[in-house]
Amino acid sequence: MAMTVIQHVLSRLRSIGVTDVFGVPGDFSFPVCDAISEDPQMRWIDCCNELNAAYAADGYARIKGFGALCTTYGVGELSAINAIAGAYAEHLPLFHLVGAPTMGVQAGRAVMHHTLGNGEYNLFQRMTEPVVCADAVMHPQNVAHETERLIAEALYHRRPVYMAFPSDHANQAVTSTAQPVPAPGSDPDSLREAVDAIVAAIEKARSACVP
Amino acid sequence: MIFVLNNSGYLIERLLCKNPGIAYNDIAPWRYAELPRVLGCDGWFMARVATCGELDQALQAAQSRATAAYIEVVTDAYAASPLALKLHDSLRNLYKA
Repeated sequence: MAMTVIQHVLSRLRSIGVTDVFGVPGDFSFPVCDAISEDPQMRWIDCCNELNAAYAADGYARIKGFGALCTTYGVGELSAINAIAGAYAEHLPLFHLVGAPTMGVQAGRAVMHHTLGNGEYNLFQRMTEPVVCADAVMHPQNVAHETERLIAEALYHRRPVYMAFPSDHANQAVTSTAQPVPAPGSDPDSLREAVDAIVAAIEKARSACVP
Repeated sequence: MIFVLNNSGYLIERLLCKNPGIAYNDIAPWRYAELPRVLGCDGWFMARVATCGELDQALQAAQSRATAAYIEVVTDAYAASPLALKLHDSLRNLYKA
């Protein structure tokens, strides 16, 4: 059986080493929370609020190299954004999974809870864009490609990425495939020169601050 | 007099999600009744009650004191208002455009 959109993303995150997701549940993110809870190799870690969850993911990323959190649409993601901006400033790759209203609700500009009531459903994603290095709305057709792109961007730039999961799409079967994006390598000569220069500077240093 | 209602989790989510008992809907069982002491509210009346009898006793005790009172009222995890139950019943139409 084909994996669902959210199962696919979780399996890819697992394969790079993400085994824990910090978060606060919400009705729009039930499919994401359920998939994490039902995945035997993933651990859902309930937090008191989304800001805590994002800072917990920040700390996790400092130890493991990357972290993940899950929040609901609007109120949840906005609560987390302060720590996401912190992770951006501190060069920490975080995967922010956001459960969003169905595409039908969004297209119909319905008046829904967790929105501003003005029918604008991409506002919160736009608010997040300055503090992430990449973002995408996941659906069955794009999820394979977008997952690889976002993982590659997060790990290359060492910065947070944003993934939205409309709740109707989250549990639909993936209809595409994609290969992992190879990490860009450094030119060996330039790298050696840079390392030599750094080592020389450290050897000459008389204090912990190297100019 | 402050009342904190403790129903052990996110009731509205229990009423809206697929599996009401799933762990992400539970909140950590902290000792909420002792929060005033932690926050420096010295001398406050603090109590944790789980029955109407215990609530009556706590109210009586609180009234006989000149300090503020902080009472944690533990309810059933699924005790819900009529509005919340109505939301649960209309789940099918709740998220439609």
